[in-house]
This record gives sequence, structure tokens and C-alpha cells, in this order.
Amino acid sequence: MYFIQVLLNGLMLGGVFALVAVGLNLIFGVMKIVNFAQGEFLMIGMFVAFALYSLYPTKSATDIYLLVLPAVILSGIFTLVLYLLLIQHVVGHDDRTQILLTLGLSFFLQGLAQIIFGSSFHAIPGTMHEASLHIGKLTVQEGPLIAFVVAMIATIILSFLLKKTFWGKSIRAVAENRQVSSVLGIHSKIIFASAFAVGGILAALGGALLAPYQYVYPSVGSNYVIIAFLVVVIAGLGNVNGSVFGGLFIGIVESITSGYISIDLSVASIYIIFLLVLWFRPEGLFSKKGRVV
Amino acid sequence: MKRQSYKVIWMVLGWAVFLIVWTVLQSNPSATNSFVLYAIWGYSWNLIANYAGEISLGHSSFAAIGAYTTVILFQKFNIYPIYGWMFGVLAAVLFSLLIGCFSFRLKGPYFSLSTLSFSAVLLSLILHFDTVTGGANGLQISFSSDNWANLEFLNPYVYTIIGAIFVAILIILFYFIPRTKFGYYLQAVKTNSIAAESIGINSFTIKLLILVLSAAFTAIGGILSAFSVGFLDPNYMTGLTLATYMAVVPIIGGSNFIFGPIIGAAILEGITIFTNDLSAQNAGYVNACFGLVLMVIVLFAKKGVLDLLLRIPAFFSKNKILNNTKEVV
Repeated sequence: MYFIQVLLNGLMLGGVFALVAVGLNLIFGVMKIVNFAQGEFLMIGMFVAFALYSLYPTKSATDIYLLVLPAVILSGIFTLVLYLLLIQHVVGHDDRTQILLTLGLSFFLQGLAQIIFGSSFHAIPGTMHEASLHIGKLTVQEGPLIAFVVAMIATIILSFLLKKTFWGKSIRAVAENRQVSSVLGIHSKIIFASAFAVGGILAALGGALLAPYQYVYPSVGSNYVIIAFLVVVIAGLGNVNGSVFGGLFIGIVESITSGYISIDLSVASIYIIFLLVLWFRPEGLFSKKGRVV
Repeated sequence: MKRQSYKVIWMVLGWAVFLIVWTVLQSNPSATNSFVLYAIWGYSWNLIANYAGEISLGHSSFAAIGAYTTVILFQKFNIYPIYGWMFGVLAAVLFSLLIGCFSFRLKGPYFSLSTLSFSAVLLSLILHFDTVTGGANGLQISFSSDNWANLEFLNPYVYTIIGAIFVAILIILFYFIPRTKFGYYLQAVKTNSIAAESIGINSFTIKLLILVLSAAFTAIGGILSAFSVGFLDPNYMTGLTLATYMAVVPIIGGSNFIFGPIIGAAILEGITIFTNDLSAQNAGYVNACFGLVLMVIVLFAKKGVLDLLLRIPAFFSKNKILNNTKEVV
């Protein structure tokens, strides 16, 4: 029974990891950009939700979740602006430039949040922090459950878009070969901007879903971004479906380690798995070689 | 050879003058110390970036291992830091061999991420074995009196002088490495590792050697930092923030220039001082300013501030030949 409980907790945890990692993987796979600011996009989603709540304080839990959509839209606009201002200038540059630019952006956004909201922990008051369902002997917390379900729906929608729509096919084409797809009349600039915005939106959605039941503070993103990177590498570059499974897998690993061994070593266990994957299967666990997006 | 060694002497003297001017203008020992530390770390990190062509984001772990080993040996086993620092450096070197054997198989972002992972694993281990390491509370280094054996000096400028000596050593290293056989090997491996392998250079060993050198100096910086501040904070010492600072110092200054890391360290410390004056309570200003400067440098001056300064005369002159920047050596 305890084991099933641990598994469930891991799944709930993994849902948000998956969401951040899918967005990261989209950006990584299409633009070959290592986006260290992805965690800050999640933080932005959280703070926008928090700010909206502060402007329009609502009472019930359902009303809090109504803030998710405007929070996501605002964050999406914000990431698009960031892309047009900064990121688009380093597409196709060397790794060093991209890593340093996104690291700088990450520091800048964290600092901005600290200046505006202060370094302390904020929370959206309400019942979501404690609310849980009891199924037999199992306890499922409502907040993580909602986050998990929405995350899964969002990734399924994204996967469908990538497979079936013209936009998705264009993204895959550009990821495969930018020059050839440009020759075929695909505007790679638009594709890049939209892919980056969608990646940012997914992270912000994760943040907005976390906001009702978790503390909101400027450095919250750093807990997620590195793990999301590890998920991307474990899943394989540009493998969106793999990222979902990778995220859930990482969540379960972390949960099992903290449930059975020690809560301090839960992070270490993830990294050790990551290093093992890099050692034995650098192309990723779920990747067929040469497949992009 | 003789004329070359004169050049190095001038450079070291230049560093000494720079530091003295900085100290007189600053008159704040802790700011001076952290400036010197940034310079040490910047040079150490630059060894990897410049000679192996890889971006390491786990360099803070070397500083942490060096500092923790030295302090734990002192507090638990009564080994005086004056000997203990060697064990600290040795531990960092062994750790760097582990990282190197693993990470040098990988390229680009994968290398960066794997070095980052090692830092994170190290942080988890430090937090887990809190009976020895003090866990999340860190380790306090108590001061009693002036004591050489314990590396305790009441005059904070002693740490500055020790640090400055190591910076001088690094300047000399940076000057002579490209002029040795080892330096040629490094250059060959960085430019084209496959071609280098084909003429019999073992690129893996070469990269490991430079990583060991880099880790040793980073550890020395970490030990100096621990003893001059008197406190070890695990989250800071193994964190991405410190690792980024180490990387950014040479990048801001200009990683191709011998004086690059010194200028970068001065700018980074300048940002810290400026934002502290702005608002000492809110840490946000430091991060925001730092991020802004980093982005501006990356977008507008890829080769660093020194490169920009050298371009100024060429920019105003009509002679386009001057626009090819020369290395300042």
C-alpha cells in the first residue's frame, strides 16, 4: 500500500516536470537552443497567477483555477516578447553564446521578480494547500492531481498538433533541416518564434497550476529547470512524447528515493540516473536514432 | 626567452599596481578579497574554456570540495589548514578526474549539463551527511587570534596578498602554456580533435591534465574564500550562481586576453558594490544587474570588454586594417 502511495506521489510530481520538459524539448529540438531560462518562465507563470489573484481575490478553489488561462496568455505574450528582443539574435550561434545568454536572462528575470515581489515566500491563500481525496487507504492531494491531469491533457494536445497540423509539420521540418524547409516556403522565423512561445507557455502553465498549492518565490524555477534538462536528455533530443514519460519516470524515481532511502538524496538519485543514461545511451532512452521531434 | 620573461614580469607588476590602486580606492577588505577570488576563479575556469573549448557549469564543486575537505580535516581530525589545504586540492583534483573521465566523452551542452549534475550530486551528499559537513547550516570557522597554522589572520589583507600571489602564478601560467609543447597539443585538440588524434596526440589525457590544473586552482580559491569569510555555505559553494560567476568573469573581461579575468572580476565586483549601495536589503538588484550586463556582453561584445576597448581607436580611424583585433600578449 505504501509503495502504491509513493508511486502516486511520484506521478503527481512528474506531471509538472513533464510539462516543463516538453516545452524545453520543443525549444531544444527546433532551435538547438539550451534554454536555461525555462525555469524562470515557470516562475513567471506562478507570479502572474499570484498577481492576478492579488488583484481579484477569489474565495473558492474553482475560481482560483479560472486564473490559469489569463496567467498563461500573459506569460505567453511575455515569452514571445523576450524571444523577439533577445533569443532570436542567437539562433544558430555557438553553444557558449546561447548558454550564457539564457543564463543571463534567467538571472535577470529572477532579480526582477525579487525587486518587484521581494525574496520572501508568497502563497495564494485557500484550501488547495491541504485539500486531499481519500480513496481507500490512499491519499491523493487535489492540487497535484489537477496539475497532473491538466499537464497530461496539454501534452496530448501538443503531441496531436505536432503530428497532424501544418504548424506541427513545419516545426518538424525546420527541426530536421532549416535550409530545405525554407526553400519549400516555410518561414523559419515564425516557426522559431511560435515554438519558443509554446515552450514558454507550457512552462508558465506548469507554474500557474503549481501556484494554488505551493509557495511562490523568485528562485522557484531553479528547482525545475535542471530536472527538466535531465528529462530532455534522458528522453532524447526533440522527442516530445519521450519527455512526458521521462518526466513521469523522474518524478517516480524522486518519490521512491525520498520515500524509501532519504529525502536529501532524492535529487542525487535523479542526477545519478541522468549520468548513467549519458554514459550508456547518450541519444536518450526513448529515442530512435536520428529522429527529431 | 629572455625578452619573453621580461614581458611576464611587466604583466605581474601590472597586476600588482592594479590591485594596489583597487585597494586604495575601495578601502573595503571584503570587497577586495572577493575581487581577488573572482580573478582566481575566472582564470581557473578560463583554463578549461580557452584550452579545452568546453563550458563547465560545475566548477563551483571544485571550490566546495577543496574548502570542505580542508575545514573538515581541521575540525574533525585536527589537521592544521596550513597542511590541510594540500589535501583539499588533492580531493578536488581526484573529483575533477572523475568528472573529466565522464564528461569529456560529451560535447557542447551535454558537457555543461553533466558538470552541473556533478555539482548537484555533491550538494545532495553534503546535505545528507550533515554530521560531518554541518548539512544545510554550513560550517562555521571560528576565529581566535592570529595563527598561521590555522590560516587565521586578523588583518584581512593577508588573504588578499595570498590570493594575489596565486593570481600572479596564473598569469605566468597563461603566458607560458601557449608557448610550450603541452600548449600546442591543447591548441591542436581544441581546433580539431580528430586531426590531433591522427597525429598521435591523446586528446583525452590532454584535456584531463588541463582540467586537473583548473580544479586545483579553483580549490585554492575555494579554501581562501572559506577562511577569509569564516563560513561555508553549501548552497552557495556548490550552486549554479557561483559557477556562473566563475564563467562570466573571463567572458566579460575577454577570455582571449591575459588580463581578461582581472577586468571581468573588477566589473563583477563593481556590480556587487554598486547594487549594494542601491539597496542592501534586496538581493534582486544584484541578480538583475548581473543578468543585464551578461546579456549585453553576449549580444554586443562577444569577445569581452577588453576587445571593445581595443576596437575604439580602429572605430574612429579610417584605416580598416586596424579592425582586425590583435591579441594582447
